Amino acid sequence: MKKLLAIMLSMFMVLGLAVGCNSDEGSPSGPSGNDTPGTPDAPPVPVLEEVAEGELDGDLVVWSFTNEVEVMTVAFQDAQPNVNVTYVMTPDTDDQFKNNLLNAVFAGNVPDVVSLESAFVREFVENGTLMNLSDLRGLSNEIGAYDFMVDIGTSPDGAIRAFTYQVTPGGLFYRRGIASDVWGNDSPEFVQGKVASEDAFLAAARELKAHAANIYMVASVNEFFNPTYNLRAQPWITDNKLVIDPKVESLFELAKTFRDEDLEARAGQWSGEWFSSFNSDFFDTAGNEMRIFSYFLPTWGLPYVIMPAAENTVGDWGLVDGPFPYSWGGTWIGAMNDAPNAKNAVEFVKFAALSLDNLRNWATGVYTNDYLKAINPDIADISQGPGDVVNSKILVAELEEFFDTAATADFLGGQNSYTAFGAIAGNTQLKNLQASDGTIQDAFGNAVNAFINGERDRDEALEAFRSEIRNILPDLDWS
Amino acid sequence: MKGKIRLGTKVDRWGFVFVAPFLIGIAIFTLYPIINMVIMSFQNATNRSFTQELRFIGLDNYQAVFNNETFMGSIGTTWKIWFMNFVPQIGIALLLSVWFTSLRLRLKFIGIFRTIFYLPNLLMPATVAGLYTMLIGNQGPINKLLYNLGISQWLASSGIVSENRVQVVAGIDGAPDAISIMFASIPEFMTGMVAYIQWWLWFGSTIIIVMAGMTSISVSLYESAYVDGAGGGTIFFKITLPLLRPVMLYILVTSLVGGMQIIDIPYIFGTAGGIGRPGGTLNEFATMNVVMIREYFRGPSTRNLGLAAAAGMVIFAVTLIATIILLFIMRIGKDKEPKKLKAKKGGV
Repeated sequence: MKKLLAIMLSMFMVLGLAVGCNSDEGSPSGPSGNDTPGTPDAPPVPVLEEVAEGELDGDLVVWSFTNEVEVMTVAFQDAQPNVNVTYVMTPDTDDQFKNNLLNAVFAGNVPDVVSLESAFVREFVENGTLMNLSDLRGLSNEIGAYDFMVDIGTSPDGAIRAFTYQVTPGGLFYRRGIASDVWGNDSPEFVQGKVASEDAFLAAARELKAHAANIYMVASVNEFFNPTYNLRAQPWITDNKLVIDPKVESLFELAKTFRDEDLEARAGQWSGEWFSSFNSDFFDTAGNEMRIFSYFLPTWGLPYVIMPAAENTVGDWGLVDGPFPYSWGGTWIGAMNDAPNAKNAVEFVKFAALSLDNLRNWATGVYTNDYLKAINPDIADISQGPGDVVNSKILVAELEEFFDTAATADFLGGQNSYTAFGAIAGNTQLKNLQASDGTIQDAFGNAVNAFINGERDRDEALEAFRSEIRNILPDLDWS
Repeated sequence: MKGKIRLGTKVDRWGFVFVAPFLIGIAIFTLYPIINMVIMSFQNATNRSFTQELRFIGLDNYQAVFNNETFMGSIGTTWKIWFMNFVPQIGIALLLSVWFTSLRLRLKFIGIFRTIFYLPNLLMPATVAGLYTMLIGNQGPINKLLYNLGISQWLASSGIVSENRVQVVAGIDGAPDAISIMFASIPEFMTGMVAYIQWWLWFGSTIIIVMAGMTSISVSLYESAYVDGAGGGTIFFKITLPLLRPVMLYILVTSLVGGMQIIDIPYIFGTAGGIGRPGGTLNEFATMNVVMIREYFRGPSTRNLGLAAAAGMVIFAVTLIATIILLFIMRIGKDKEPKKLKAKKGGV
């Protein structure tokens, strides 16, 4: 009996773990873009019709993984008080939000509006569950939305299915002190000239090293992996085959050069050492400082990553485009194909992502908690501080002045981050996006790391990468 | 409440009512997923197309799992880590328990020691893995300590740590200023680290169970052994260990089941070795569950539930077979056991 019990117990323990994550039984989602969309596009909703304040009524159900969107819903109620908004927030820890949404689609009981994170926006854009909002393209052009942010929300058939209120281009943050020590000039114009291309970037890294061997161009080579992936001329999966773009393959050489010539400090992104280097608190084992010149981070990297960890180096920072244009992060908003309140859903997307008034309020910190509480006294302590770079060229230009005196300007030695990121966003192009990119890029990064660590030679590393992807995506053409 | 029969039937009925919530819970949250996993392991649940019809594809998933060298390799890794963790764990737990319960030593403050040894078990393994990732960083505290004690220099110059696992940090003038050992890039070290953390987290809990087992052995047995002149070793091997068999069986089975499923520590170390942490290793220390999650669950759209279910079934099979072998071995010993005891009792 005891034996039986033990066997039963071990069965349950083993299986309990193994199935823990499977419970969203067969709720198939869709990436690769080659599949037929799940549901045909719903009959077009008259999206361009002007809606007066207070004209709408009925319900609106909004699902989000971030409470940023809740601020939007409250502001929306200010314009449309007769709409009864239900806001449901589910964090996407362990894919919870995404699984809930997939299950809802599966059960045919969808919300009206959803917010989608950059990590999974492509999946929903490609799987045919989002409403075709292409009719809003004119409005989007009118406010000067950045093309690459619109591209991310565009499905392979050319239809726009999600819009975003923010723009998240990535730049290169650098330390002014090091630039003046080495080159005698710390202006962004000069530094951009030094790092404008991949070759220039490498040359600049060597100059820093030659000036003082304890100055490193980057904390680790992994910093420029993601930016490099943006340079691909073709998607990772083309004609159902895995394609390693030559641009991406050149990472092997570039990373190896950085490693061999000691141009990186070997301190990984998000490591304790990385954070302490912002504050010039990064020391080798003998206690001498290791100085890091630059960091690849996008818009949100400034207020949320660097500034909180760099209180001793305020004013010693600058921001330039860097060698690779890239984008990192962002939140998109889409309406569901089968939205029960389609009209309100479309109006909400228009309000949240395409209304200049809302975006201006969003960027300049109008949506304080007091402001929002006046609209809906029942809300929690939510608010939106100033500083988010919004997805409108018109507003980015208009708001430059506003940010001349912001805390970010002090931090960047007087440089206006809004202007700088606006300019970077203007040069950013994003193509060849696929839902499976994240997984493939992780595996590729591992291959490059194995190569530069001397664990595998280049061919072995590439073979290991291919076999890993083959395990993950066995349906591709592997002949 | 008048007749026995009526009372009995009433209790019976209420019994069902009382166990119902538990049974319903088990059925929905454990039994259904298990059955579903078994079914899905035979299906094309690739999660790739939104309208995909799940269809049965025979043993294709299993074939793919068996052809996945990374996964098959991880079976050995899992065993290695479990073994490296379990042997010292049970050894030290037995030794400390013998000391703590010894009638001769009569140690003081046993409760305090036991509490201290148990404390690590209260921590989340993931937290501990994160902590150690920071501790062993290239310029982290452990490296600073080792360098300042001269140990890093010795490790590097004696060739114990190979050249490409050592970071030579240059000073301002370019001359070597300091060195650090890139621990995260040494697979053997990381494997040992996983086993060590597992040991550190669990030996306290094992001590408590072993001690409970030991104190339940009748003192009179020990007393008569002393009277007969038995030494510490004899007492341990002839009395303590045989009578601890049920406890040992429990520890072995639970540790084995847990050990085969180990995921958090190697997973976090593996992430630390990949993107974002230079000097990381390929996942030579990836266990079965780590490979399953990494390859079949990774990425929102690249996951393949069918393959993951099949891998889960393989993990289940490995654990089940090992457990059955274990029970079988313990049973062989058990058959001899009562005879000896009976003989002894007869003698006394």
